Order: sequence, then structure tokens, then C-alpha cells
Amino acid sequence: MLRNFLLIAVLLPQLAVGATPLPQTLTLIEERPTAPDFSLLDLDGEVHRLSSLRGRPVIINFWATWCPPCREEMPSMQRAWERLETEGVILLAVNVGEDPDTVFQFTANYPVEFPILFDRDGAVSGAWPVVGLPTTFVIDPQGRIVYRAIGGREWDDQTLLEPVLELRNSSANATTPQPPPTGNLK
Amino acid sequence: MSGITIMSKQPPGGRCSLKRQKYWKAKIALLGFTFVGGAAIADVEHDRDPATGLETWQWQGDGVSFTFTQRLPDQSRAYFQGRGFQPADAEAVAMACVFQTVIRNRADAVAPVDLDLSEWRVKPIQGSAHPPRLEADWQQEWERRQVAGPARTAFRWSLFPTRQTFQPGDWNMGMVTFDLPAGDRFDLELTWRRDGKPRRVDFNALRCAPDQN
Repeated sequence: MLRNFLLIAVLLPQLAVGATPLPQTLTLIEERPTAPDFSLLDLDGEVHRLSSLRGRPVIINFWATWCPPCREEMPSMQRAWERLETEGVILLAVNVGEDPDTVFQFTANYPVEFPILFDRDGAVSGAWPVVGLPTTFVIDPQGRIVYRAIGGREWDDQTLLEPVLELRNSSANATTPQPPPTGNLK
Repeated sequence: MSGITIMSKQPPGGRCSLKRQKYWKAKIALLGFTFVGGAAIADVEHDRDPATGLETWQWQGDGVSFTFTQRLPDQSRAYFQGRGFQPADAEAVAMACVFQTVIRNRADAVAPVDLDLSEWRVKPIQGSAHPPRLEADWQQEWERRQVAGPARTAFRWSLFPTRQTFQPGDWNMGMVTFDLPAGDRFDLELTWRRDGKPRRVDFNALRCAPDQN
């Protein structure tokens, strides 16, 4: 009996390794380059200028409606926004290369409340270090790129939000961001 | 691994007879094999979707996974025409052996993965080996054909990037064009770098989706 129990105790963690989702990661950008500024219109025709958001952490997600992982992460991004909105964090989704009609139809199926901005000619995404979609950056209150995530994430995961929220404590004299609790960071 | 340690510290019963030692040795060997098997490099897996008939090839090991799924020429025709391509231009891509490709560097990997599609080699049954047709090649073609700017932008983001670095937890999805006729079989020599060190896996007998038009 004891032998069988021990055997199960040994095997279970091995089985669980295959079944447990891997932790989600943000990559720390050690150089912390200044985020390229932009001024883009949202769905309501309002202008959003990145440099005017200094003093608060900003999450910037580059995406497109035809991109499956972009669509997949949108609901979790909305849930994250519902938490972040009252915590002094800004979330902007920059649509790459599409028109407002296309995105408006998209939001009927994927309702979101955070601003969706339009980079119709790709000039902004071309100025940022975006290689594939989706790519998401976290900007610190000093306007520097601190974290990056390539590919979709479940953005309402506390392990992703915690390091973003901690950036609120970084002052103008450049507190060094700490690596988030998961992932292998460079 | 820790489970094996626990067992070796707590043999069953108070006496370690030869029979019992053999019993535990056999179980430890079995568990060791299971552990190694769970983390070890696997062969290329091949599946066919019973609903669509589309085939998928996948390999995972070394903390990275590569997945290639056929795209029917009709899928690509519709996709690119829906993004501003003229039918003749969309046809050129649709008939270039398009695969939907997912590449992932696992979150528990220990180092970044560098990818350069220009180093991959497509080996058709007949003809010489060549790299996949890359985005820059296509953009020259679109310039020559005077494809509209928004369509070219959509194309740029739809194709898998030619060069990309994946930190642990990063992944991407995009199209790769292998530049072969519909229905053709080929081998793919796929290379990447893990923390700067070259790695390689061979996918054998991949098949471009047939044209059902």
C-alpha cells in the first residue's frame, strides 16, 4: 500500500508538469530606451499623444483584427483594463494598417473599453521595435520602454500586472525596475 | 527526480532483501525513463484534421516548438483578396505553398532563440534546395506589380518575420511560403540558435496543400 502511494506520489508531479500551463513572462529591456513618441487618433476621433502620458505606466499593444493571437488576448486585456483603469495605468491598443470601419465591426464581437488607436500607414509601428503581431510594450512613468512581450498573453494574470503596477513607484530619478517574478529575463 | 530520491531514502519494509532491491531498481529505472521521456527531444508529430483534411507537422524539444499547418490555396486567395490584393496578385501567394507557422520559446526555457528563415533549406523531391521565399522577395514583387500600400502593409505583418529573437515565453504566428507547387512534397532543414549555439531539426515529407479549385 505504502509502495503504491509512493509510486503515485512520484508519478503525479511528472504528469502535472505536462498539464500545468507555463508561467507567463515579460522580458525586461535593460537598456530602457526612450519610447518613440506618437500622436494617433482613436475610434472616436480623439488624439492620443504618448508623451503627454508621462508620470504613469503605459501598456502599448500593437495588433490587427486578422491576427488570431491578437484576437485571443483581447478579452483578457479588457479584464486587465478593468483592474488597471483605477490604478493609474494607461492601456493603449495600436491597430496596425486597418481602417476604423473594420475595427468598429471587430469590437462588436470583442467589446473593449480602452482606447484603440490607428496606425493606418504603419509609420508608428515602423518606428517601434515591432517585428511581429501582437507585440506589447510597457512604458515606465519616465517614458522609457521597460518590458516587452512578443505573442499573446493572458493579460489579467497577476504575474504580468504586478511588475506594471510596481512601476508607479518608480520616481523621476530613475528607479531601476525589478524583474517580474516569472520568466527568464534579459 | 525528487521522487526518486524519496524512494531511495525510504525502501519498503525494514529489510532490503535482494528481491526487494531488484524491485526498486526496476521501478527507479522505469521512473527515470519516464522523467527523461517527459523532458526529452521528441520526433516530428504529424496530424490530419478530420474536418478540414489539413495536415500539421510539429516538433518540440530544446525548450522550443515549431508547428506547420497547411493552408489551402483557396484560404490564401480569400485572405489576401480581403486585404486589398487583386486576384492575380493573391493567386501568386496562394500558389506558393503557404503554411501557417507557430514558433514558441517556452517560458521555462533558459535562453533566447534566434531565428533566421533565410538559413532554412527547402529540399524538394526534384530540384535544388532553396530557402523559403522571404518577405523582402515578395515586397519586390509587389512593387513591380504596383500593389497598393495598405495591401503591402497587411502582407508584411501576415508573413512570419524573416529574423526574430524569442525570449522565454515569447511566440509568434505567421505564414511561411515555401515556394513550391501545390501538392508537392519536400523536406525542410530548420535551424535556429539557442543562446548563440546552432541547432537543427529536419522535417521530412512535408506536403504543400493541394489546390482544390
